[in-house]
Amino acid sequence: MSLFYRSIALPTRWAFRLGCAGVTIEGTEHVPKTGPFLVLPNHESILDPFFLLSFSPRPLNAMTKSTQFTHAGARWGLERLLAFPVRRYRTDAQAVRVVLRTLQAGKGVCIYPEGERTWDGALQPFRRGTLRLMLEAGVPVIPCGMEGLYDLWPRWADRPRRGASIVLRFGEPLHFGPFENRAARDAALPAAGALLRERILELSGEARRRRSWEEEDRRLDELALLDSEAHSTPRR
Amino acid sequence: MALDTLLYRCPLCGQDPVEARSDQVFCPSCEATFEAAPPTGETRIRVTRNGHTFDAQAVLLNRRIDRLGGAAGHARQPDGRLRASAIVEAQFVSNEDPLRFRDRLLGFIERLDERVPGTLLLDGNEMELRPDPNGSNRSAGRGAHRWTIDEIDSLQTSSSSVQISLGARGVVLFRFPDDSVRRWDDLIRRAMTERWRALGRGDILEFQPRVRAE
Repeated sequence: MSLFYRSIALPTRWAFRLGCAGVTIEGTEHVPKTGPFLVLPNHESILDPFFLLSFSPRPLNAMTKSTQFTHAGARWGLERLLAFPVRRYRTDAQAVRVVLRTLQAGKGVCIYPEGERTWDGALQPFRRGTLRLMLEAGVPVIPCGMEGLYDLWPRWADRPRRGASIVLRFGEPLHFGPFENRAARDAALPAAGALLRERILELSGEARRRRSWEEEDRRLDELALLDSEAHSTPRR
Repeated sequence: MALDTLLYRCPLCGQDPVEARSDQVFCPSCEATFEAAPPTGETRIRVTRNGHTFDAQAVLLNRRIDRLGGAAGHARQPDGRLRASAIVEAQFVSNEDPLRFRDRLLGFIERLDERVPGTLLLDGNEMELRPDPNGSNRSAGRGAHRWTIDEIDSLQTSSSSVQISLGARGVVLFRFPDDSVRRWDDLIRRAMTERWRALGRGDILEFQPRVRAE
């Protein structure tokens, strides 16, 4: 781990503790103390990588979209924070090679399986390529959930807010494979993806929030119908 | 960028456009206001209408917009095609540079050309970038760039831009200074989905790193 990585992690922890109403970290015992592992978290804020980096018990090499590296200053920092680029407009074989090489070296890798931040706080579909890589890697997969970061700095906002409580939860490791061949691996893909999704929904608190969706939607229907005849017809 | 990036039309009545007022979104049709609710960790937006207030999860408002037809509601023409335009700043990817750190190849990053101010038009199966004739850079006054929806083989969105890949014709990135990037992401996705269905290619499951259908 670079000196820069360590020098960033500690003050970042303090910044989160100062700027948030509460910081809770759970399940760090699930992160292997030695050997390779893959962390797959939900992605709800630009602050997620910093939160994860600063509170993870082991350093994480994070797959990061290539456009983040286009500015020289950002590139300098990201390289030292163990980030590596992925081009999102093509199947990036080099990014896959870097993941497998890093895991072979016994290190931790972080990939956001949704591929981008959520606009509305809900977990998005997972990228098929990430699920394939998860099965191909043959290392412990740590599902991870972050909660409250959307309140702190959602994708649509141009600045963060204070006062949110944030939670980072590492789940129990999942083990997949080994698979005899590519066909066997592809056959396992849907079930593995569903299991990962279920775990992240629980760990990120979305499973809990989903229980009130129906009731809340009904309340919104009531608001929409409220005295509607007094207003003009909407333009669509 | 503000809440009207997400709520580019009213989730209650479908009005499009809405008005952005400081940290709020206001619907001039049903007079509802939307703003970020006090943080509870539950991703809520405060909705106020006619003296009634409710803190709803953002996902429910987003889904209502989707049920109302998303960006297509405003862009749909009587003949069924989607038509929209927006002021943009476009950047073409001219090359890719290797990224090395301590003699190790970390990957490749795209090299972006200078920004081209102009107008982006979507009309049915066609898209066109018309550079601003008064722009101050080299692309000013050059001819328009045209492509069809069929040519798009991947679509990615960041918080401030939409990036499309046109296969051998390269990658283009659009920023929308006066419009919601979320709206344009939705518009292009809908145009692609409808086109792929019409061509019998099936329903699109993924838009990146390349378009993949059922």
